[in-house]
Amino acid sequence: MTRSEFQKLLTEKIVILDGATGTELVKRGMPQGVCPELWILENPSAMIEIQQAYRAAGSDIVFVPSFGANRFKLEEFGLAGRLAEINRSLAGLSRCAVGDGLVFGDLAPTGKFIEPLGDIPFEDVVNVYKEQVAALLEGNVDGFVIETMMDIQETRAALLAVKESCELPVMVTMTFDEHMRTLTGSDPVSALITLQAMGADAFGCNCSTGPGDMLEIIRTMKPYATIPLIAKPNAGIPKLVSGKTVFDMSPSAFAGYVPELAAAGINIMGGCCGSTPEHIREMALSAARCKPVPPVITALSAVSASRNYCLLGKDKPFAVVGERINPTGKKALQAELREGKLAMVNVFAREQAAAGASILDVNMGLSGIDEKEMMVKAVKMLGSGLPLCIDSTSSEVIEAALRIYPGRALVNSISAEKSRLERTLPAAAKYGAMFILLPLADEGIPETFEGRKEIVEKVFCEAEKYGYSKADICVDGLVMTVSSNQNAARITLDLIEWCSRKFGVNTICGLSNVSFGMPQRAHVNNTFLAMAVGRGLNMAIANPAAEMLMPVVDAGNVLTGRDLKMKRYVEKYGAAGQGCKTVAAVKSDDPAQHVFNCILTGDEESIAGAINKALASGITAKDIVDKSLIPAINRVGELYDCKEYFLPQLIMSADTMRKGFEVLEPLLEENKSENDKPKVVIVLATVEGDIHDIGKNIVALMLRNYGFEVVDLGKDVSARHIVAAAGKHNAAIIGLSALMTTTMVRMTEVIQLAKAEGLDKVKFMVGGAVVDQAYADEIGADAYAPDAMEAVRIAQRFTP
Amino acid sequence: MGNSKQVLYFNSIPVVLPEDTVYSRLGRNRFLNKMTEVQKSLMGKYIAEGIALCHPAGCWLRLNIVERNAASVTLENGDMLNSASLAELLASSQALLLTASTVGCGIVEASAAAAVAGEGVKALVYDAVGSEMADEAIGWIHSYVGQQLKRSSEKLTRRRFSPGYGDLGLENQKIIYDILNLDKLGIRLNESLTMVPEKSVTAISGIEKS
Repeated sequence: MTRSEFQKLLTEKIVILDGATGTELVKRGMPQGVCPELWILENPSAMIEIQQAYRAAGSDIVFVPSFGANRFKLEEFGLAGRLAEINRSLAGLSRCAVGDGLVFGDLAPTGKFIEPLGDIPFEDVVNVYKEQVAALLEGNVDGFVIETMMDIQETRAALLAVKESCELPVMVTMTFDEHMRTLTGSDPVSALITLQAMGADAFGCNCSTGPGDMLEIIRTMKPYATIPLIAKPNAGIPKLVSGKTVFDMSPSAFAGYVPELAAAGINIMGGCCGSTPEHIREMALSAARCKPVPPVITALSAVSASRNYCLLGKDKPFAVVGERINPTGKKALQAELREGKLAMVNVFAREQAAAGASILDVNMGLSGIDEKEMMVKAVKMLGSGLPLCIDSTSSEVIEAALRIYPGRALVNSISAEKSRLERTLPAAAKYGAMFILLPLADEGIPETFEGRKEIVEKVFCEAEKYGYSKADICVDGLVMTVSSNQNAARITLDLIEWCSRKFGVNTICGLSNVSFGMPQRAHVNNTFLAMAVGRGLNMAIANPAAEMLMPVVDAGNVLTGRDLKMKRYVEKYGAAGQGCKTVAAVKSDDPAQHVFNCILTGDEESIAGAINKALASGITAKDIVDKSLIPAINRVGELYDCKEYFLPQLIMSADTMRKGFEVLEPLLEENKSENDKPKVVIVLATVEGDIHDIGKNIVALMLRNYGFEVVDLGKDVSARHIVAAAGKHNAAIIGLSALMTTTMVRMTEVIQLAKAEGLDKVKFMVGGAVVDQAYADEIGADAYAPDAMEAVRIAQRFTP
Repeated sequence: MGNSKQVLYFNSIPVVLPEDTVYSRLGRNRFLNKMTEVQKSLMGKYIAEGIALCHPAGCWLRLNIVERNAASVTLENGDMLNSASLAELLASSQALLLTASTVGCGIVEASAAAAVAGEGVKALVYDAVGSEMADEAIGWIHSYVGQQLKRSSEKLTRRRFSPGYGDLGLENQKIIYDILNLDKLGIRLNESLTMVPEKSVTAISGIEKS
């Protein structure tokens, strides 16, 4: 069957697949724990009976029972050596069962995970699938199905294996949970964008849910699908009945969903776990009464990563392509890349995402490094975040990155240069990437709008030969610096307007070029951006954290109608305004009250200013402490006790208190009297053998903020060291922490040693996840502190 | 699912951590608690930073149970796990699943550094994120294995056990450590049988017929 014959079939009717195989085999005696593929070959009549029943019920396509017949799976049963024979024979068996019906070779998860999730190289998995594909082709299959996939990267490997082996049609289905995610976190739209761009002939979902839940997944995908959609649901949700898993949806109830599935845009349907030939019969009868809904679009402007996607276009929000992952002019990044490290790349990715980037440009071009190796490494690391824009002048680097990128990338860039058209363009097309069309040729950059327009048309014409449409490209306005040519901005703006309004493609611009050599570059950049948005620009390569850039973008989305009902703008800036109001609400004209409020809300930023203002108004340092700080922190304690505050808020207030004291301390020192008591010393430690110290650290912080002098000895501290420190610092209290049952016993050692060393006046306070009051009593500790606040209160009680 | 006795390692588990789980670990009562926008934003920032500092990895292995009594189970490799509660959990299981996860030492070091710098909230949030990420990573492995088991009409027990809890002594940590070869995940076991990095988890579940 050719791919076009497959597509033609789908225009004529809703194509019916088969139903469950595993549960039907068990009904026919297949025992647990055996290799199903081998059992089928040893008991062929069972499989023939099942597939003939499905065919008779109305299945247009049956799947070869080769689900687990890949090398990795067969190895588990010691059958890898028989891989070719098993696949070939299974295909022959299905052919024999259904005669002139269509037989699709079935590829499914290998059970291994590809780097970086697992330790199997991507190419190894492609080869494992290729081996299976070759054997199934020998068995004369009509096409392929890649099903029950949980990981987008493994799905890509299987799809590439088929595409690189034959021209037959290939359907892909993945398994999504109730949150509409695959096990490795892909959502249906991201997966659809990636796989349809790579050449899947149909995409959808199977297993995991019943037909009702699948409806939602299909409705989510349909607006973005350029290919037919598939649903192969279970016969309902599995239930445990008398200790057995049962799928209890009847055939008629199952088929009852068919009209809704068809209306939602399903073109291919079948059944998964628990479905039977009777389910398929009812489904086929119902489907015959429904008209197939073809894909609603023929091309889609969108890029994706394994767990994210970004829609592009004149009616979609403006997309900022974060430009910072590029070593040019960044010495620290260059040094890191030369050491083979990517920590800064990770930080740049995170920061740009937080600042509002929709896509991340990745450029690893640096002399003295292996650009391809570093690009592949970066793409592996960043593949699950925002969609990537692969930026290189080397077609080899771009192809290597595209091969392992688990999404649909944007390639930066393809121009009319011979090498780009001959090498980069076919590579981009193979992996279905979108690309940035750069209006330059081997002769250079045309200085006129007409010259650039000509190149755009020429490159697009070449791209069409590889199946590209206008939705798949973004033309770079290629702005030059106005400091050397004041017409530069105008030429670019004219090209942007023509591309977006007449030619009908996305437009993009490397924003910062325009202001090169100018003072106050942000002014020029942002004004140019606003002007370009007005002429139709819908993407920019820029630093999203640059001054005022995102506000211009966000406001531009409102003014050009890309932000429907101004929802995004109001959410972003309205929320910020509200945040200010919340803070403002706790401010007060009374300086003492303002200090109090700062502590109450843990406002570290404002406390120093508030205290200085209070001092300037004539309030003494001692009064600020006694009448604002201490009452406020006590109020925080009360709020914590009644659960209006939780631990982080308690600490925020305590941290604010400490900052306040830092301001006041020099003044308090000046007015210190001889009667003022020295600070009480508390020695804290996590006992020997125990490495958990967050609880102890929080207690230390709280005690310090309440005016105690804390000697924190750290974690895994011996009894001898703790007792020696207590003696040396004349500690009033020793606080001990332990999290493990195996280490809490060390607390006794400390108490006993302290007594033996004559530290009779020292009080012991203990705490930690496994410690309780009874244990504290048992080992002779003076108190048990269940949390940091209580530790403070105990310390205050011990040292009145 | 086959019968291979090879430990399967995941070098980078795609954990998606809901902020709510971190808040719950930190003791937030969502009905009573009130936070300002500034506090919410600070918490969100630290949670995001914490997640970025975690590198969840893990592994699993299926082992058949060859002998059992009320107080222990013996595995096909000869190791014995002594615990009446575990034996009860595994009463209907023909095999068990050993799993481990870690988020690496970056988050632990960052939390400690924050504590030293007096940034208590950051230290606390990082610590909570590390713990939750390690738990979520184990949960992810369980989801994965559970999905695989469905095809062989098997399922995992709803509960799982970890050494050091109930009557499953911490000495069992050494057995699991050795079987799963946790050195390969960068985990070591100290003299107190505590795993280092601290944010590492092991678990035992039963595999039953469904």
